[in-house]
Amino acid sequence: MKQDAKTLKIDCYVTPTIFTECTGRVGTLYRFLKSTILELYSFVLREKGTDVYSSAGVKLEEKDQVLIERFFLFTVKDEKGPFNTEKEQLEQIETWIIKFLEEQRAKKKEVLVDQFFVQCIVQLNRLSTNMQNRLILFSRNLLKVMDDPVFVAKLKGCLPSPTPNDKDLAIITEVANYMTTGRKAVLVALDYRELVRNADPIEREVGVRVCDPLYARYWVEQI
Amino acid sequence: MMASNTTLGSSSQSVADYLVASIKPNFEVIRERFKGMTLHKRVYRLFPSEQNTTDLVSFIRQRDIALIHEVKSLPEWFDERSYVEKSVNQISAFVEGDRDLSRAMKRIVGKAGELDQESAIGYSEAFEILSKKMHATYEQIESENAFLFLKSKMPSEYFDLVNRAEVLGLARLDVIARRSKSLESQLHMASPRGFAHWSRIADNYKSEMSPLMAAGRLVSESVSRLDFYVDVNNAANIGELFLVKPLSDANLDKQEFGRYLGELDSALTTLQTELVWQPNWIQEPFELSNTTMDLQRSLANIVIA
Repeated sequence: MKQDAKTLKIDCYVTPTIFTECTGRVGTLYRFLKSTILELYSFVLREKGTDVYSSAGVKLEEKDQVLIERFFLFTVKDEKGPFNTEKEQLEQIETWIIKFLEEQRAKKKEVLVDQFFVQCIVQLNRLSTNMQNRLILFSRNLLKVMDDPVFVAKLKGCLPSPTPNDKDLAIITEVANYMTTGRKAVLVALDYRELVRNADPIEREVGVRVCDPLYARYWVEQI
Repeated sequence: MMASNTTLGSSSQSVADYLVASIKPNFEVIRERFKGMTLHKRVYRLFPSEQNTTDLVSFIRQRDIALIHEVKSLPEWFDERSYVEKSVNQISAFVEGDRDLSRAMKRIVGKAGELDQESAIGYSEAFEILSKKMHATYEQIESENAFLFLKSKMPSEYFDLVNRAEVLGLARLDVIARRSKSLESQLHMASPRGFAHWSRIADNYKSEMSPLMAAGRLVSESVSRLDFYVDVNNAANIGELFLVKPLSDANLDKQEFGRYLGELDSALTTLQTELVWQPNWIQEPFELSNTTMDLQRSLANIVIA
């Protein structure tokens, strides 16, 4: 999509609702990742017969992968994470931990438990900062538009079920407000259930075309 | 417990705060003796002359005393004078331990030329050095913060905010360092054209950077207050201050701690907003391992889904 935007010489913007939503999601995800790592750290130490106060010098050996396996298998997989995709996220963390451990073991002869988990937290902090900064850079292109609760309510009544949630309706309204200044816009979204499948009625009611980023180029050329 | 290097990071920020607070472009009339006559000469300075300036040690001392007086719950063993002396000694050792920084700081104050070119060079150099020092020590600071996160019984929010303060503090120094470099070259080019042009450049710099400087100072103060409060209430005596040690919120007053967290959060939001509008803000992504890059890609999809 970025390449298409460059070719067509058009600007990409985020609306205030999208920005707030994404920033919140990164924060929630980051806290979930960190708390999982913290639980895993305590679990590993407990299983190795030590605790946070006397773990200096305790090694993380190859056979300790079994501890990680057991932790993810029995301890956390029943728990809920954010966004109802907890299983997928935990699998991703598990994959990352194992691969990261392999990476660290390839670099050093000996990996210490404390040292390894410190590196895990450092990497997660950096990852979160990078993701937040990308969003902040996006916010340089933040649309200075407001949503409109009256308009949102009216729009809600016109759309077939499943109706987009209030946040999605606020985003549509923000784009519609932007277009009242005489400028043209296409709203790209990955939410098929409530947004992309409702593209025709949304366009009919408020003149905003919603599409998958894959088809953004086509729709931009149509308007 | 181990000796802390986080003071390296906070020392850089403290010196930056001092420089930011001290820059005050202004005219001064100085008296000079010439062939038995007293001449009054107009001088344009970036910094007030030596007698009108607060030196670094006094600045740190005043800041620390104000900070101590704001904190309500202090342990019985705490002694204000010993704490301030320890803090001042650390900052002084930090500046004197770096010959380049020390030299740059000396160039800033007390120059009597008509146009205060030396100060601009010193100022720009000092920020460049501080920014480099912060980058050089950042890896160590982030490892210490991660270590504390694992070993402490503190809410995750505390570490998130402290981490964000480090990252934004680094970004603030980078922005000021870049802009100060351009101030230095603008003043260098403008010198022959005299007062009016020169003062316009300096005043532009000051008004352009003031919101960022003020926001950064607010973050420094909030983070110093929070750090001091947590540190002092997790130490058993003065010798344990400024050391990396496991922390516990059981030793803290919930309400007071919550207030300091809230103040820092709000100060960070203001600083971030100021940074976003700075054309000199170029945030290079932090280096990740290959496997973490893969994780980042997967998580980005979750965020936008």
